[in-house]
Amino acid sequence: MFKPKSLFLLMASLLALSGCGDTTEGETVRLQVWGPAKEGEKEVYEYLAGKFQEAHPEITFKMGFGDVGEGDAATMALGDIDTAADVFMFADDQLANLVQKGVLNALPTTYANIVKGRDLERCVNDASFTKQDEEEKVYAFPLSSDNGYMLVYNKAFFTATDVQTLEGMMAKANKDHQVVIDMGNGYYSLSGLLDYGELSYDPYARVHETDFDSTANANALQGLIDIIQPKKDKGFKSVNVDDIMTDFSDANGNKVVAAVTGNWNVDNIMEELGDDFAATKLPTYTSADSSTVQMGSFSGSKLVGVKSSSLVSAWALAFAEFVTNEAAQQYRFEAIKKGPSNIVVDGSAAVLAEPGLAALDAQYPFSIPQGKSVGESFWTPAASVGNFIVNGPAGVDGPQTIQEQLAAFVAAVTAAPEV
Amino acid sequence: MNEKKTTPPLMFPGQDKKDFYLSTGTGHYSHLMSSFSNFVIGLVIAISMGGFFIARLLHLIFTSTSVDASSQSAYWLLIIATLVLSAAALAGGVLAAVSSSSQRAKVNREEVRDEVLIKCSRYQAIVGLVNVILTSVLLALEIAAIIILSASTSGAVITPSFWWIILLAVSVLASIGYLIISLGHIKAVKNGREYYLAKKVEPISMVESIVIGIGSGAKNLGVGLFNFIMLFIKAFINLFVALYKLIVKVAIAVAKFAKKFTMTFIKGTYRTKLSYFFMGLGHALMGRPVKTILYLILEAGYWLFMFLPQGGFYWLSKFDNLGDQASKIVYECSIIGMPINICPVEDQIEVTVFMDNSMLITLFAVATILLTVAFFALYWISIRGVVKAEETYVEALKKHESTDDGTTNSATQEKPKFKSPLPTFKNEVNELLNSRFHLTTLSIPAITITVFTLVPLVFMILLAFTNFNQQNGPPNTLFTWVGLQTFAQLFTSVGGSSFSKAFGDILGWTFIWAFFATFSNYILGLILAMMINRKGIKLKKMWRTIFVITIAVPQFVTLLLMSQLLYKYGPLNETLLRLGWISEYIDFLTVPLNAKIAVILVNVWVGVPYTMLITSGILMNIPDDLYESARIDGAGRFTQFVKITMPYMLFVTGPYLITQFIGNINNFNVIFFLTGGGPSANLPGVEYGKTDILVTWLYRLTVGGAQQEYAIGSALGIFIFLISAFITLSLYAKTSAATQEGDFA
Repeated sequence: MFKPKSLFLLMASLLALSGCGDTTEGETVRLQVWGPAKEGEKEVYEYLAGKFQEAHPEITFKMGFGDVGEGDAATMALGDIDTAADVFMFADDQLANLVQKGVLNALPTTYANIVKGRDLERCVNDASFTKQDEEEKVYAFPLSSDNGYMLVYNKAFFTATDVQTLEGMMAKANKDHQVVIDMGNGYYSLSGLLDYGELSYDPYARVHETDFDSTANANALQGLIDIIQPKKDKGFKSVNVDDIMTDFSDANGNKVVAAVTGNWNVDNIMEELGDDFAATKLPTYTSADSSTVQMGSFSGSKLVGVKSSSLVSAWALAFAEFVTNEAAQQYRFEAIKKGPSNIVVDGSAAVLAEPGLAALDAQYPFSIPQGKSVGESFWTPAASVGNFIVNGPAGVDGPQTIQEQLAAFVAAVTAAPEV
Repeated sequence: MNEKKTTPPLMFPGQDKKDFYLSTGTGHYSHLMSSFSNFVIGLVIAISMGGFFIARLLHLIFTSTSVDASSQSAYWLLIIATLVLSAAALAGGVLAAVSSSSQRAKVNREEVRDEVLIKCSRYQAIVGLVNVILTSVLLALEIAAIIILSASTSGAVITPSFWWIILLAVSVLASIGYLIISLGHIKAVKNGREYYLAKKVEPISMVESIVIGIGSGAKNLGVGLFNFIMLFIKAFINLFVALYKLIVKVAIAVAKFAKKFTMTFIKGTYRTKLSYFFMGLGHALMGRPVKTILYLILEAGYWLFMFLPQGGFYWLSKFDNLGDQASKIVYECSIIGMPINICPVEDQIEVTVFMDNSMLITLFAVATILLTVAFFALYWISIRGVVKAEETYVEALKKHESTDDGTTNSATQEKPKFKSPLPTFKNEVNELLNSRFHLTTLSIPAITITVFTLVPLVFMILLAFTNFNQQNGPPNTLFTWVGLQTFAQLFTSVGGSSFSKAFGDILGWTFIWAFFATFSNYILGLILAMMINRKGIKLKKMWRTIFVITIAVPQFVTLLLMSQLLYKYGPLNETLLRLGWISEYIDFLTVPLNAKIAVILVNVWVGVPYTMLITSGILMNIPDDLYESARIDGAGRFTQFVKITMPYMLFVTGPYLITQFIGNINNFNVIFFLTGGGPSANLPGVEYGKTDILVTWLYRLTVGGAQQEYAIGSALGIFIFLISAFITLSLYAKTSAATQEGDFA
């Protein structure tokens, strides 16, 4: 435990020095990469790794791929930084955490300019962070822009006008043809207010700033309750969309005719619905004081990060830049249809023709960036509000009206955390 | 029947009616006692119900919930009714007591005794009847109120409270018992003693014995509760006394050892003194160099380890504040092949080099300390070895030097060379493989236990005295010692949203859960075993096998299946809905109370086979003649159960029950796989669920979520250990297994 560590440091310093010195021909560079292996991502990685090796024939790259999903990469990197990969893919809501714990360092200015020049502004925002007493810097390379959700529905059942308002949808939905929104999940539960109200997160004090307990917002949610609660289980169902996927199909009687979900489910639902598949932005609803409220959502990106203590940081940065450049994003979109973050690719006709991605684009003006708006303390209180919307008061001890529930929510998310 | 019983029992389960009625019928004292008990019942009802309703009233006044008129009036009705009825019960008790005592003087006179007894018994019967009516009406009112108020649209303002319903139900039964006894008094005296002196002896019926049992049970419960509390207080005090004694013992032992250590050096020969500095050198000076070489290699190895960079002293030096600098930045060039000194600023990469890692410092420092302790033990063993060996060697040498040991060669007048009497290396190895083989084989487990159990254990315990959490932890921040602050955080309340509220809730539920889980499994397993064991049941083995089959399915598979079954949109709800038995989905696992009940019931499913098997075996061992004689004496089935079966069972399974109780305090699987900790409690700042027990909360705090509160988790773990150890030790000493070992031997 002591000897290997001292040897390790010795080797590390030698390698660091060698990185600064001349790279001789025939040198081997070891690079460890983490990314999800499902949904064809691994094949995309292997193709791009091959292309990277071709681009640098004088060096032999030994690249190891670890199947670590985007949600887990940050946790694993924080758990043991020494064994973390040099290049890893993660979701942007972890960016604040990774930067504050020193896992990610700011990109060198040249690379930052490359990112700012070629990627969508919202993705660059998702990849940026402002450390205390510093200016905003870019900390990772944007990979895809389609973290977010929209409305997916059965064209044969709803017309385009129906899905513009929640009331229209509820009018047509009934016990045998239901609309699904997972109100028990903090990700979806407050979509009624994400556009209408204010919500932001301070990663230093680790508290939120929000006005969700204002009268206007309480009225808005009351309006939502008045639409949803009478139809509970008789037109509206609050479950995880992954559990009811097969209920979309004709074979199952179209038990589900609309759902709020993200791009990751679009392929599966398309399989179930076939030609009846349609996607659009989230609907509006009427609040209790008769104003029209647009349902909002979270938006986010997938990012590629380079470990701050990487022993081959120059090559790691080069590789990360390579797998997120325009050609790579084009290939990625063609292979697995994920929303690209590159401006050119995103504007191409093929991308615009994808219904899921087009719907996300339409929803984007009404969404807030997840990484900048919510922290860890958001999810459980948000889920409680969602449960209140669908089921009413949880018990006699808890909040009895939506105003009280929102007050409790705001108290929870603005509470200073225990030190 | 001429002697007065000085301490008449309140109720005598198992006794024949004749004796019972006669003994209680003649003693005036017993009238007083039964009146007193009636008084107590009335008092309890008055205080508890009155106080409880007043508390609800205050709650209603001080919370701003809007309550509609019908609810309010129902509420008021309930309060008034309770107060009136409680007052009546109280008055009745007082009246009965007074009337009994006023008749006291007359009872002693034989000629009016019967009249007086009948009169008193009539009073008591009336009071008993009134009591029955009172408590039944109260119970009915409570249930009705709950039904009415929960159906009102403004939401229920009164929580269905099971405890009060149980209390009321028990009061009802006790009152019925009292009534029966009073009637019995009248009957006994009226029909004359001759009736009962005749041959006909009726055993007490099942119902009567249950009621009588409940009455005496209530009395025993009170006495038992008091003893229980005293037990814990005594055990708590004993703990500190024992701790103090332990510390004194340890201090004395350390002082003694230090003295021995120095005395051995001072009194030792030059060999011993040298061995203090060069481990085992004495052996080489006595002709056994191999042993010395081995010891010296060990010593060299240890000092090498301590002094090397990143070795023992490095970690120990950082141990006092757990690191100074977590990381530093070095710069590299992102242009491949360009050295940093000519690299333009916009191409420079900030590379972090991580230096001090508090967690690793703690771990390696602990390992170093334990290694040092182990080395010191070896060191002391080597010195002792030299001292002992020296004794034999010096003696043999003396013998050799003296001229008449019979080995001198008469021809050359030379002595043979002195052979050291100490065992050679080969001999020692032989010994270790034969006569002292136990040492060889035990060394491996000793090492592995130290490395894999002791080091992590000490490490985790030390974490409780730091502030290790997400903000103060690797990789780029350090944590440090904070003493007892983490424990203070668990127990005190800071700013309303805190760990202490969560801790209090969870602790309460943990005990309730452990009690009900153990109790329900035990009783139901026992009942099941008794039912199968009854004479007249055919195919006993088949029934047992059927109930035991559930063991074949692994516990967590059962639990996962159950959680799927009880899911709100799962198969059970769907089936009930389609059959038309319910009109809306039932929230089994998402409403706190339902989740708690569901968890206990599913645990019964999982655990009853085990208790059934255990109790089956024990039941079959109880000798039948005990039951026979009880039946002859007139004991009912329930009395037999309470007086014969239960004491025997408790004697044999007492320690088992304690183990199960402690095990259920830490029963992670059932809670976690069924509800995952349960519906969230929605407490701002601290995340926990309503069915969380201490261990599942610990999991949630550390690795289950994103909280990473490792220091608090460690403090919680230590606390759980303290509770478990405390309960085990104090309860075990009190079980009949420990105190009545002679009775059932």
